Amino acid sequence: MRAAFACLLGAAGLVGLSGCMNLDDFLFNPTRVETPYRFDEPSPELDGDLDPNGPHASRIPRWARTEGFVESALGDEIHWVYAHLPGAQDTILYSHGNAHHLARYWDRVELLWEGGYNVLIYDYPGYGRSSGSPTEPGVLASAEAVLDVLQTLPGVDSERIFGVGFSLGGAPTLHLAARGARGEGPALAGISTEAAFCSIEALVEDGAGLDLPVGYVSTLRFDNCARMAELDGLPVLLRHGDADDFVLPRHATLLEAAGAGAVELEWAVGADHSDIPLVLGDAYLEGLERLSARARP
Amino acid sequence: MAERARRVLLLAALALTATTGCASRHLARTVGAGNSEARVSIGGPLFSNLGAPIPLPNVALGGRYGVADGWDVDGNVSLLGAAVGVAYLDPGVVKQLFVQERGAALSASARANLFIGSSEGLAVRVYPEVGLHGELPLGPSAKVFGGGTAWISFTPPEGKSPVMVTPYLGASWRFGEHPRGGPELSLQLGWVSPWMDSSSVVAWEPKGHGAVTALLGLSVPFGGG
Repeated sequence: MRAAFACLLGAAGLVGLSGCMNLDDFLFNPTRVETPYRFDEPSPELDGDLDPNGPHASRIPRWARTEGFVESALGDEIHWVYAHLPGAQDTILYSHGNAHHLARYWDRVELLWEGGYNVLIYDYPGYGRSSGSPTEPGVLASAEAVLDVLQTLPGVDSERIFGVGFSLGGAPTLHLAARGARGEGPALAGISTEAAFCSIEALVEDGAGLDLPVGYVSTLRFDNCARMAELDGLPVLLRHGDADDFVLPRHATLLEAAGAGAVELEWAVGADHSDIPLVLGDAYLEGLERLSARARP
Repeated sequence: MAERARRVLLLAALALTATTGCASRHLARTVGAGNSEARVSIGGPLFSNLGAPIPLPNVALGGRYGVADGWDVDGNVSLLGAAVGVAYLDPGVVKQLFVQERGAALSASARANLFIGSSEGLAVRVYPEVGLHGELPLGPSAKVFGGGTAWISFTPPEGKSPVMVTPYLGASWRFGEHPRGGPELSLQLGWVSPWMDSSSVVAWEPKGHGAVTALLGLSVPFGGG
């Protein structure tokens, strides 16, 4: 009997002393890079999702690329790479997914650049060559900083900047769009998300099957659904794989339902989490062309 | 999001879900008035985010006490939940429905699964659970046991059922010289809501069909015969 109570008291003591273990750090998946990316050779860091043959030398030539750093409002040095396409009317600010660094998404930048857009991609704090550590405010501040830079770069029409975000990148994309809609920052012409989630809370609900508070295990919120409600007529293109078993398709319908903008939801039939451009094929760029057309005055 | 993120959201969701298969439900035979039992359970729902399917590494400490013949109070606490700052407790009662001295036994249980943690202030969740538990002897020391539990979630997430049912089956081996037998080792396999689509950031197994749970338990009796 005493032993039983001792066990229970010990367990209760553990519970009382706990709370020091936070899972936020695990919610980001950065890889730091200390040296410049080797875009002009098939270096391992260019191993993206879209090329089944593995990494390849950049199809965007050296002359079209510009790199730099900008300090965010939180003091992080944010690394960005800009691919300039002479004659392009529209510019895309690309916010990448949770894994590694921007070079792993370079094949997606190539797809957009070859499709007729200027493209800027950047790394969140703690990712790639950016300094600092990833946090929710840090990710959002990095997007704000590079948007300011983008408007100063050659070939960029500040009235024709579109945000495109993949997975985690949906969060900074929606943040910039909502901020612009509130008049607190530069306005975007439109946005597109791929495999974005509604919120961290909704992701945790998926896994637990219960209405447990997200705050139990994380301080992160990334409430994209709340941002969707602030867009005030901004053209939005949501894309999601109907076979996505990571960020479930319901997140797309939740985002659509929350939207206050002109929302188009395009399902990539048969697509999982990371292969939407491959599955959509030509329709991938056609969707962006529709978004661009909707943004015209 | 890639592997590391998956590991984590999994851990996040997990510690939480340990719930459905957190502790042994080998409760068919009540302990008798004034007697008690302490136990430890290791395991939980199977997931494959780290590669091959493995049980969630939850450790639950628990015990029960006979408040009257045929009535036990029972409870467990999850150490994995504690490790991420969430207190998970499941106090309950067990009522003997049928018992043979050296034969079959059947009981029913009712409990409250409590989660207590902070989320912009103190956040408490309560999920009632009812269960039915039976056992049959296979010999002087071995038993098979089985039953089912049903969790009730008053405000389930969209697309999720308000009731999570977990049928389970297990076997146990008792050894030692205690009047009620010595320590008992048990292995319990369950299946949380097999018909529920469990696809999510947590790769529960079998994919898309609830989650199979595996628990190894050790219980130690205290008190008279």
